[in-house]
Amino acid sequence: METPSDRRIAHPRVALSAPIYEVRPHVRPIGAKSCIGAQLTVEIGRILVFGCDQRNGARLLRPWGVRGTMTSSDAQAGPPLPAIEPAQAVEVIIGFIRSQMEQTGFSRLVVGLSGGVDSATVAFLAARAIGADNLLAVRMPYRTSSEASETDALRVVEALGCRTDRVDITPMVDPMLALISGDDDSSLNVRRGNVMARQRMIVLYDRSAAFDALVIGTSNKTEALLGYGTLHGDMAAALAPIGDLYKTQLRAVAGALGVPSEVIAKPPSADLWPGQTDEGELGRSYDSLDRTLFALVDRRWTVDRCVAAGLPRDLVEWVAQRVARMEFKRQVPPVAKLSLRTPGFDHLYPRRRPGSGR
Amino acid sequence: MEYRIALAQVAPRLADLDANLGIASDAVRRAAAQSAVLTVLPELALSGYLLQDLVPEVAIRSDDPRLLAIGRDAPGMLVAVGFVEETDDHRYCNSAALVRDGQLIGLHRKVYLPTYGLFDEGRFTRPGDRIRTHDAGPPVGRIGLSVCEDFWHASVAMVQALDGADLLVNVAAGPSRAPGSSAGLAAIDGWHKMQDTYALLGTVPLAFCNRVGNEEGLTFWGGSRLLAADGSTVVQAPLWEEALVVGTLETDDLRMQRYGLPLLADERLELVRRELDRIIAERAGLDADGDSE
Repeated sequence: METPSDRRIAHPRVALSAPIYEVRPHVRPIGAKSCIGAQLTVEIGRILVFGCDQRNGARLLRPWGVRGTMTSSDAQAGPPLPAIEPAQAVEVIIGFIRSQMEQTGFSRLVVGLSGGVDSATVAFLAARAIGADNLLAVRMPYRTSSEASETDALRVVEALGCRTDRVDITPMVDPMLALISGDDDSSLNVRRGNVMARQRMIVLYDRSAAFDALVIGTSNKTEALLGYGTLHGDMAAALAPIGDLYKTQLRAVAGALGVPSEVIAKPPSADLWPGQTDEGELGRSYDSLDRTLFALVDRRWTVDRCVAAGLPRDLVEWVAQRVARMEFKRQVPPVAKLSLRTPGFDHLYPRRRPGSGR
Repeated sequence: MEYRIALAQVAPRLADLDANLGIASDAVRRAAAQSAVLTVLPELALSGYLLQDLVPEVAIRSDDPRLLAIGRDAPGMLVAVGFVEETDDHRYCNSAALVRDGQLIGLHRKVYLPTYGLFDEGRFTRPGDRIRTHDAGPPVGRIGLSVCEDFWHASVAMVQALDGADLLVNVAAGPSRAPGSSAGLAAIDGWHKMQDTYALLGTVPLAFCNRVGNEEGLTFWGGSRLLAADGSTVVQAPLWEEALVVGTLETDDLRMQRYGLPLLADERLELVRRELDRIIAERAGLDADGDSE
C-alpha cells in the first residue's frame, strides 16, 4: 500500500467542510476496506471522493481512479468554503440570462467552449435558458492546445446538442507571435497567452455578429477577484452569468446541471501553453484561494483574522494584495472629469430602458 | 366579517410607465374576479427599481389621473401600489399610494432609503417624513402603508400598530442574494422573521407584496405573504415567479386576538417617549431639557 507522503495530490481541491449534496450510487468507495479509522465522504462539485484517516493524513481515492492523499493541513484549511445551493443558483442565473435576452432584444448566444468547467457550465446554463438551437459553441484551438480540451468540448456539445464551430486560431496568432520576442520566459508566456485570448475574443465577436447573438462570458468570481484573465480577451462579454460564483461553487453548480464529470474533475487550465494549469500558475489551490477570498471579500475579514482562523499568512497577504492590484480589471477606465455630467460619475443609467433594446 | 386580499407579485418593466399601468390594471382585474377588496402591488410597481437617473422621467404626482385610475373598473377595490412620486416642491420620493374609485385614500413616502451594500436609493430619491395610518373604512379599517426597507426598522410597524392600524401593508422590491450560502438566502429569512414578529407583537394582520423579475444583474425574489393577527401565515406566494395569491382575513380574529393578547393596550407610550427623548438628547450631546451640556 502506498504511503500518504508519496501520493500527495499536487493540487488539493478537496473540501472536507463542503456540504454533501448527493451521493451517487454508482460511486464505490474504492479500497475502503484497507482504511484505518473512519471513512470520510468528501465532495468536489458532485464528484464524491472517498478517503479514510491514516495517522498523518487522509488517503483519497477518487471515483475516476486517480489516487492521492490529503494532508491534515489541507483538511484544516481554515475558514469555510463559500457554500451554494446549486438548484437555486441555476434558477437565478437562468432567469438572469432570459431577462438579458429580452432586454437587449437578442434571442441567441455565442460561447467560447474550451473544454473546461467554466465554459461548459455557461453552455449548459445558456442552453437551459434559451434552448440549444439558439446557442453556438465555438471551439478555438491553437496548435499547442491539448487534445483533451477538444475531446471535452465535444462531450459538452454532444450532451447539449447545441450548434458548434471549430476555428483554429493558429494561422491568426502565429504571425503576431513571431513578432514577440524577449528574454523573460514568464513575461513571454503571458504576452503569448494574451494574444491568444484576444484573438479568441475577435473570433467570438465576429461569430456573434454572423449568428446575430450576444457573447456570453465565462469568467468566474475567483478569476475576476484575482484578475486572472485577459482584459479584452476572455473577460470580454455582453453578460457574465457565473461572475458571482467562486470556482468551488461553480463545480457544485456544474454537477447539478449535469456537466460531464470528466470536465468537472480535470485540473483547471487556460491551456495557453502545454502543461499550464491555473493552480500551477497561481501557485495556490482553488480550495485555499476560495476560502481566503470568501473570508476577505464576502465576510469582510481582516488579514489577521484569516490568519488566526488557520490560513497561511503568505497566502492571505498575496490574495489581498492581488485583489487590490487587479481592481482596474473589474472597472471601466477612469474618465477625466471636466463637464457637469460625466458617464460614471453623475450620468448614471441602467443599461436598458424602453426603446434602448433593438 | 371576512374579506379577501390579493397580493399581486408582478414583474414591472424598468422605466416603462405605460406597460406597468397595464400590468397593474390586469392584476386588479384578476383580483376582483377572486372577490378581493384590496389588491397589493409591489414597491415601484409603476416604474421598476434600478432607475438611477431615470427617476425624473418616470415620476408622477400623487394626483396623477393615471395613478388614480388604477382599479377604476373594479368598483370599491382598494389598490396599494408603489411609484416614483414628484411632490409639489419637486422632491422625488419612493412612494406607495392607496387608491379606490379614483380617489387617493392614503400615501406613504418611503422613510428609510437603503444606501449601503448593493443599494443606492438615497442618491436618487428623498426620504419621506411621516409614519401614518389611513382609514379605508370597513371591512379593512385603518391601513399602515410602508415601503420595503421601512420594515427593517421595527419602529415603523410598531408606530402604525399603535396608531390603530387594522392591517399593515408593506410593498417591496427585494433583490435576492447568497442563495444557499451559510447565510442561506439571509434576506428572505430575515424578512419572514420580521413579518412574523410584527404581526405577533402588533397583534395585526400583515400583507407583504414583493416583486419578481430581473433588472440588470438583480433577481427579485417574490415570496409575498399574508399573515393573520396571530402571526400565522394565511397565504404565501412562490419564490421568483409571477403570481397573484388571494387570502381571507376575518375582522373578528383581530378583535379576539387583541382581547386575548392586549399588547397594544398595555404599551406604556409615555414611558417609551421619555426614554426616547433621553436617548435623542444623549445622542445629540444635550441634557434632557435640550440644553447643551
